[in-house]
Amino acid sequence: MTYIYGAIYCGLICVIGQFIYDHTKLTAGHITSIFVVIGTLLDFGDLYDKLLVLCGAGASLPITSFGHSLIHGTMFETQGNGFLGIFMGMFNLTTPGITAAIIFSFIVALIFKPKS
Amino acid sequence: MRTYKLDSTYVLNYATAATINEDKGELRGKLDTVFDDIYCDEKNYELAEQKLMKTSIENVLKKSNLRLNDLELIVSGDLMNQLMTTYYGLRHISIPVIGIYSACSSSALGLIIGSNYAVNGKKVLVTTSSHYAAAERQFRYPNEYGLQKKEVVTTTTSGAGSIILTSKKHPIQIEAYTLGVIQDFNYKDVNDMGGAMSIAAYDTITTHFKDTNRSFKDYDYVVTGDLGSLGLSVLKALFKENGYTDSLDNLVDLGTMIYKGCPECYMGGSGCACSMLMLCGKYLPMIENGKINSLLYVPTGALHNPIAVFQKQSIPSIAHAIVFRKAV
Amino acid sequence: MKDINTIIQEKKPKPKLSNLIFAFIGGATVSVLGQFIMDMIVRYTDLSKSEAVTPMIIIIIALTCLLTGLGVYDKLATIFGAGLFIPITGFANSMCSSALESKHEGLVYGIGSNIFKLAGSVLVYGVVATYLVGVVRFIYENL
Repeated sequence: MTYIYGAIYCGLICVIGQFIYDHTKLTAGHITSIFVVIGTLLDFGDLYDKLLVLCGAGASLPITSFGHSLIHGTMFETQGNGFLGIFMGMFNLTTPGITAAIIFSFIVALIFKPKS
Repeated sequence: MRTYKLDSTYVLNYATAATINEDKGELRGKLDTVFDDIYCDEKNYELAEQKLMKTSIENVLKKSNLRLNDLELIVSGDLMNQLMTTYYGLRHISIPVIGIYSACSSSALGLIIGSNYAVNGKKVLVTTSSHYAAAERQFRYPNEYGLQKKEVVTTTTSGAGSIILTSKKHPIQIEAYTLGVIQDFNYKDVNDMGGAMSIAAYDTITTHFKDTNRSFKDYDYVVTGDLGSLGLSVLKALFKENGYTDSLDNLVDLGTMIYKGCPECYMGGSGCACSMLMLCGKYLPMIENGKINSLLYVPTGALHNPIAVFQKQSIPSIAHAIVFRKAV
Repeated sequence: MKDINTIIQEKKPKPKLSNLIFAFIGGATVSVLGQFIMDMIVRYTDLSKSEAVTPMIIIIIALTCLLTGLGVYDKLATIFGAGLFIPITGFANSMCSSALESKHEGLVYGIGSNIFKLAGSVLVYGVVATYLVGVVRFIYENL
């Protein structure tokens, strides 16, 4: 069932993004930036965590989940380090994604030739 | 009065170079050199565009039995920043080079400037080029970026065309030209170049008709460079809205022809090379063979700058017109 | 007499409904693939379900970069649109394609400087928004 809920959730978020892309002047860069910000706002109680259990990969793949990871890590650090935690926690949970993207982008850029 | 008559300007010869993508639509089999891919046996896209320009120049010199030093000068245009293709491509020659930028109307502007130097037996070479990947990279996004293009875009042509002008009589004459005025109707959709440029074509064509007391029926064809299917339909609607009752059947757009039958090319071809390739590949031969007598060539250019676009500025455009005629 | 803006709006093609359908299919497929990878990781290693998310994300990013390098990703993205740019695949592709395109300008000013050209705004606005939300929540939780 996780497969189905995940597919529906991720699919629906993509449909919303596509609708905005088709009907406004916003580009993919604008839309993903907006969705990241929305993800940051969605960390109410256990809402997103329940979503992650229900939808599995489908909830952690959209870029909204990146925003959620940013705020989750931040609030976790503020518990131990107070206000300074806001500066310390942002990349706690998002490091793997960013690191992997840099490393693999670099390797691919070295090996491959761009086509069009 | 923006139209100027020329007494004795003729096309000595013309030649093209392009890639396999341009050898599919209406130019199939009509290009002088066709490269297998957009790298044209070079390391990167920018060098590939220089190769295309140099190859088209070599082709036209070979066809005319001339050497580079027989030319008075070269007028060259491309889409790259600082006219990289022109200046890096032509830097090891010993004749003057006039580099020009008029976006996709560069071919007409080059012919206009060249005509004024091709007097008293002097020969002037006019060349323009463009390259799909190099232009995408500079104006839009990286080529491997997962962008879903909007349906209204046009596809930059990879190729180059060269024309040698002379004052000695030859079958194809350049009879007159009309200079364009920069147009801007506050249009901001960077995806729709055709729509943005349609007004420039309308202004230059109507000015030309007024200056020469002519209309559509005085020409076998009136061709725009790269408005694409959307831009062409907007242009025709502009004529109808302003009371033109002439038939507009001979008003055609070169961009819609170059990639005919190619669904991934959206509204059609664009770029400096599009109009030049179609002119040299299809229409100049038609005049030479006597199939048509007269052609009004009106390539349009979108004069936008990516930084200006991000600053929420609108897109200016321009069109220059040239009258080609079978010499009597 | 109609003005040119009206004419253009009338003649512009309207967005296709199939774009929305393909976006859904794209997003759903990425999700199913990710879930499958997670299940394989849980089955063949001793990581728990929640621990498997991180390696799954890394694998998806690696796959995206590979497809970008092979020249396949952009063709898929033309079809699936937001189905591929909303998931983490869009983020990874924007970084990989910028780096790949600029390789001829060298390691520092080519690949190095351009990796974040398109993805930068996602990071910047994610961090700025997190800071603002974090400050508000911190104040609220400590009142």
